[in-house]
Amino acid sequence: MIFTYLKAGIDAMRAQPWLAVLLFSVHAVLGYSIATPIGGALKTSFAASGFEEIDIALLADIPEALLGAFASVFGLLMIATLVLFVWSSAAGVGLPQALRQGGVRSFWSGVDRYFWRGVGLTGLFLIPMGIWTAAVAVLAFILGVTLSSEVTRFWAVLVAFPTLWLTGMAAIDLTLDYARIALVSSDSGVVESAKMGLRHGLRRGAAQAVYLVWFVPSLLLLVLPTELEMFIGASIGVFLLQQLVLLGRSFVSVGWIGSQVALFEDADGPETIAEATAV
Amino acid sequence: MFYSFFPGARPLRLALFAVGALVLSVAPASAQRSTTSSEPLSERRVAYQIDVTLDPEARTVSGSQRLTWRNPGNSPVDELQFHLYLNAFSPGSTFQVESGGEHRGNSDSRDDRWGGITVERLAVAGRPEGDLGGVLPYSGQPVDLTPNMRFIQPDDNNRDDRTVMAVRLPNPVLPGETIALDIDFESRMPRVVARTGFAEDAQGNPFFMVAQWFPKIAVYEIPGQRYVPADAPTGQWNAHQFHANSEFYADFGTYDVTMRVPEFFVVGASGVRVQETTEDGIKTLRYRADDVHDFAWTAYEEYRVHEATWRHVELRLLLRPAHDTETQVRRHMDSAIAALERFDDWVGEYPYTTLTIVDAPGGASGMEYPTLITGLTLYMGPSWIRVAEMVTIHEFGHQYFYGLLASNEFEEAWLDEGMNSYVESKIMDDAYGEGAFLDIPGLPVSGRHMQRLAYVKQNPSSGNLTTRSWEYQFGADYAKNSYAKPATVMNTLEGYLGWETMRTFLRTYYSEWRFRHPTTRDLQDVVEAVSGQDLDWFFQQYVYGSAVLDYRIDAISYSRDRSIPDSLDARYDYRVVVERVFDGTMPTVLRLEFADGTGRDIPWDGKDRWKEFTASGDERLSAAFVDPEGLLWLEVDRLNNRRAIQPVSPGPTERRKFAVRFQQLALLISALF
Repeated sequence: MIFTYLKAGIDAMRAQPWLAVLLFSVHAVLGYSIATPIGGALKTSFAASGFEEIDIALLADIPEALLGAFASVFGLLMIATLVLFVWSSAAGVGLPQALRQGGVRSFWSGVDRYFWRGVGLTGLFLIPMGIWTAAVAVLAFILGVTLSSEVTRFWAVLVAFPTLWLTGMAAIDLTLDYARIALVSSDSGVVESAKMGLRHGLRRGAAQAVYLVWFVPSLLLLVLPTELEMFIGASIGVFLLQQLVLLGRSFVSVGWIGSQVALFEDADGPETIAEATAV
Repeated sequence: MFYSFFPGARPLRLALFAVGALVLSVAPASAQRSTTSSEPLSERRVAYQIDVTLDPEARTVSGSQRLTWRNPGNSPVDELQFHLYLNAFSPGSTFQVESGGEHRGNSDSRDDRWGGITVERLAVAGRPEGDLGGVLPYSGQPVDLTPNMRFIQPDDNNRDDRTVMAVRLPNPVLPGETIALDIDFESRMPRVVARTGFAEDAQGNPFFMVAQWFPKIAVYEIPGQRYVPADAPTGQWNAHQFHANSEFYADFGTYDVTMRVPEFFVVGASGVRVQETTEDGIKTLRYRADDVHDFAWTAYEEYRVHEATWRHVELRLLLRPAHDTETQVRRHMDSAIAALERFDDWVGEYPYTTLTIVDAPGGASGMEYPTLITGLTLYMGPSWIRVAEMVTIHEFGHQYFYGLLASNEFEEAWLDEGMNSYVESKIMDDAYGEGAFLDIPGLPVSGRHMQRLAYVKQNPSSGNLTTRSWEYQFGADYAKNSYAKPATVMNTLEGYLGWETMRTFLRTYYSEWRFRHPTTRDLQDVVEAVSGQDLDWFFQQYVYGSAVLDYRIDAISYSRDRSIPDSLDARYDYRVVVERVFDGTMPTVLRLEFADGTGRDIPWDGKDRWKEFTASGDERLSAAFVDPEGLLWLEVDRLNNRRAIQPVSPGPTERRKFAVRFQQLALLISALF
């Protein structure tokens, strides 16, 4: 059954490749925008020494030399995080809009129509994310302190709790995806969309299966650029290869949302579609 | 049945072989010596014969000991002093007051956490009969001294502290005389917080680390020994209370210890096992340890035993079940042998025939006792983090600095912990290479770097090495000045003197001072004698003092010499200004680096606050570098040691690497929203 939705995702990738290019470009621009000033700040602070390579002794000295620069670097990272929050909220509503009902609408129309509600939805979901993170951390700390068995403590604190945290975060993320799709498809409010997202995301096994199937290549493609550099070395060729991999990851993101949109539309039946068409 | 294993063999030969095999199978346990020598290696001022029973239910070790002590001085001694270390784990003790019941992150608030030692009877034993081989027996009468026992608090007058006990004798022990005391005692083991005590594993099985557990006579320092003036009229007892930040000090002698434990316990102990029998569910073990100054043992039902041999040393590894993997066995054994080999080569022979490595839990881990050490093993601990190796090497190193040299750890902890950390870090780097401590690709962390960072990045001007352990204001200052800083001081001294001189110093220091409790002054004398140099300037700054070392290139420039006509090869004038940032000084080298890749070293005594160096040559100057070889391990900031004419700017490859990392980071952050 889920193959239908996976195929729909792949079809979405093929039908609207420019969406993947857009995602890739935005992250590349953001990446470069952050990297250049931060790299510059880090480098100029110890460039006078002329050291070509950094060992552990120099690395330990650098923070002291960079106290001033670190403040600006930290500020820059905060701004970048805010920009990414805004972009994610925009893309979160733009993509479903562009992919739903065979892709008859534009990405930007979704951003234009649903952006603020998208931001509200993202903000709303930060609350359970924060609560979940804090709860797992506190529980892990308590068990870490109280468990007497080193073996149990190892599996609990270093394996079970991180897995639990990731599972919870994935569940919230999955719900957020469907909430955004619901928002765009039904033009409802933030809270109503969140409820629909909860219903679609958690009650249906297919939704979770689709999430998992796309999660794996997405993660692998995110990590692969580092692995390539480690095993092949840094060169212009490897850099281009890394960019291709990251572009591939953007395609996966489009396919992922495409599958979820297809599943939502399939499950929600003609009422929602009709309603959405009217919109 | 026997014959079937040897088809065709003659009955007489087989009978002889059988007898021989039987003898051999018994002989090692009964005849093995605890040292490599048949003669005493130390002065042996004390002898302990201890006979105790472990009651796991009550958590007590109780029994009696015959303690024999010889007055080594030239004046009568009318009072004896004893350490009752285990009383540190009683409410109100100085240890509890200073530490708040917490030791290196370990604490326990359960009601049954307390421990202590009760001396039930202390009496002068009767005069031994027969030929005493030149020993002068105590001329006083056998008498019960229990009423004479009183607790003293030489360090802080804390009346609730009962870790030091004094006993007035009815008649003094005359110079050269030997007094024998019979002492009945019961030691209640605390929950393990600081080195000693009991714990329960996840299944509720009791674990015992029986250390600092018996009434132990203090060191009577005679005139001329350590800091007692040679012309002092009498010697003096050196007995300090048990503190949060101090360890131990004792005299050498012999230990003959018999312990009875339930038969299911696996036991590890100092020295060599000379007897083991089991009767009525009780296992009786007898151990002998000669020329040591302490005795510790452990008992736990679930130990998994692994054995190996290195030259004359039998290694015994006691692992807890969760850690009983081939990898852990190899990591412990390999690191112990790496330490044995290098100590033998760099410092001197390990004179004992056994080494027991104990995988102890929590507060009992990472500790040294004569011929027995406790390691630090982590379940599923990754091999690139070499904590297990470092701890094993470190604790083994204590066999030399704590065990054989036996400095006073209360007063000069650095002579043990610091000297040991120096050699340990060198062994780590020699055995495991650049990433000896943390083998991180692209950013290896060596043993010596770990020690240096723990000093230079932790308020380096605070405290000095020779402060008495309990007088450090902060625990972190004790740790830094006892471990990391002295290791870094010695690495810097090695950079100054060279490894061969340093190795000669280590070997000489060991051969001259083993079994003799050397002081900082003795160590300085040896290194000065070996190097042929007055090193007081170094010791005053970095051992007795808290000088901080840092050099910085303040300015660098060059200009073309205009007096040389353009038709001739160009000549350049160089100018480099170096600042000594703090008060510490060390002779070093300033290296001028040129555009063609060559360099020129200029020696400098490192004393001036500001020093301008000028020179000339026919190459353009590209950079200046103080201490280019990295010999000044004490330097607190290495980044400012070098300065280039043209600052390095990130190359295209570096910029691309950086950009890809941030692209990934951006994608990751996006995924979270």
